[in-house]
Amino acid sequence: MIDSYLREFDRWVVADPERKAEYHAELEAHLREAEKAGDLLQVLERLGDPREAARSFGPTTRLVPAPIRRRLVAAAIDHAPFLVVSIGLAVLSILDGPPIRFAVPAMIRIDDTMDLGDTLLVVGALAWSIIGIGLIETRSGRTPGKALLGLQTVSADGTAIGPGQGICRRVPLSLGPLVFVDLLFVGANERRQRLFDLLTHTVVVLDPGRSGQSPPVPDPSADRSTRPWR
Amino acid sequence: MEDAIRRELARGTIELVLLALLASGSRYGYQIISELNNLTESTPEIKEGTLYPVLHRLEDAGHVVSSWEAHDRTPPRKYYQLTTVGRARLSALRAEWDRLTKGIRKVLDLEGAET
Repeated sequence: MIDSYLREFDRWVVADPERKAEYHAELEAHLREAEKAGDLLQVLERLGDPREAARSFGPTTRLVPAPIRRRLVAAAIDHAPFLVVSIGLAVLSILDGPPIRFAVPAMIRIDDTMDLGDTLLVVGALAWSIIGIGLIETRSGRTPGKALLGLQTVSADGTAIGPGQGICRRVPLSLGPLVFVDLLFVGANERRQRLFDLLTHTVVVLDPGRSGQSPPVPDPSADRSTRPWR
Repeated sequence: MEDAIRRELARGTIELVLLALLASGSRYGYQIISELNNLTESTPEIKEGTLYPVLHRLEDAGHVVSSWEAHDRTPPRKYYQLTTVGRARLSALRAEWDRLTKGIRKVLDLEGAET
């Protein structure tokens, strides 16, 4: 029971590797003491599920919202196939003459402006950007682009993201030019969250494992439903 | 209702309680929770989710230091110990606590006198 609890706990904790190992060791020692004393179940009840424990026990690293420019570069890397398809189709459409059939980014349209080849290209590129990259991000909060740029996506409460969050936050990509409405929200809040970051309770931050931050610990008497952000 | 009141009143005092406990000797996390929860009925139950963030914060602020120690044949435990800076912090919190409770008592006595 302790081992499986700790495995789940590790999955949800967001911290640099050294601190993460320290939290694991401390929680394990605590649970083993409780087991020896015969009140392990009581302790587990107080801790809550592993994500709850990770939310309140583990993460004390103050997380820094990622700079917008770095996020844009990371996004360009991650969505390169989609960008290539979108721009390629748009350019071909322009060269074909009016009407312009494709906007940037491209979107799937249920009409006769898209032939099968175009549709497959857009669907394939979107599937990679939304589902493929979303699932990759769920594993560690990092996409290829984010890993290169030292960024990580976390839940707004400071724990790791779940699969639903990783995929759903990318849905705006399927909306064509309306994705820019999603992006506008970045300038409207201090955590630099897009609209779908707000809806999925996610934040893109500097990777705590690489940013070398010295972490002041938040006041536990503060509302724990949101993390203190720097 | 009583639990909710106790929790609310205890929310701002956990740091004072922890520092005061550690002033009498180093302790590890499970030991701290067991002692505090067995202290009296009038103290609200301390949860791990409250204790460890405070301990880590106190450590980052230099008020406590931690070390892993194994005694006899027990597995290693992470002990927390008060530092000199922590003792000064405890004195300051104690003085503030005394001042606050004295002031509140005066107001409560006023209210009692009126009724």
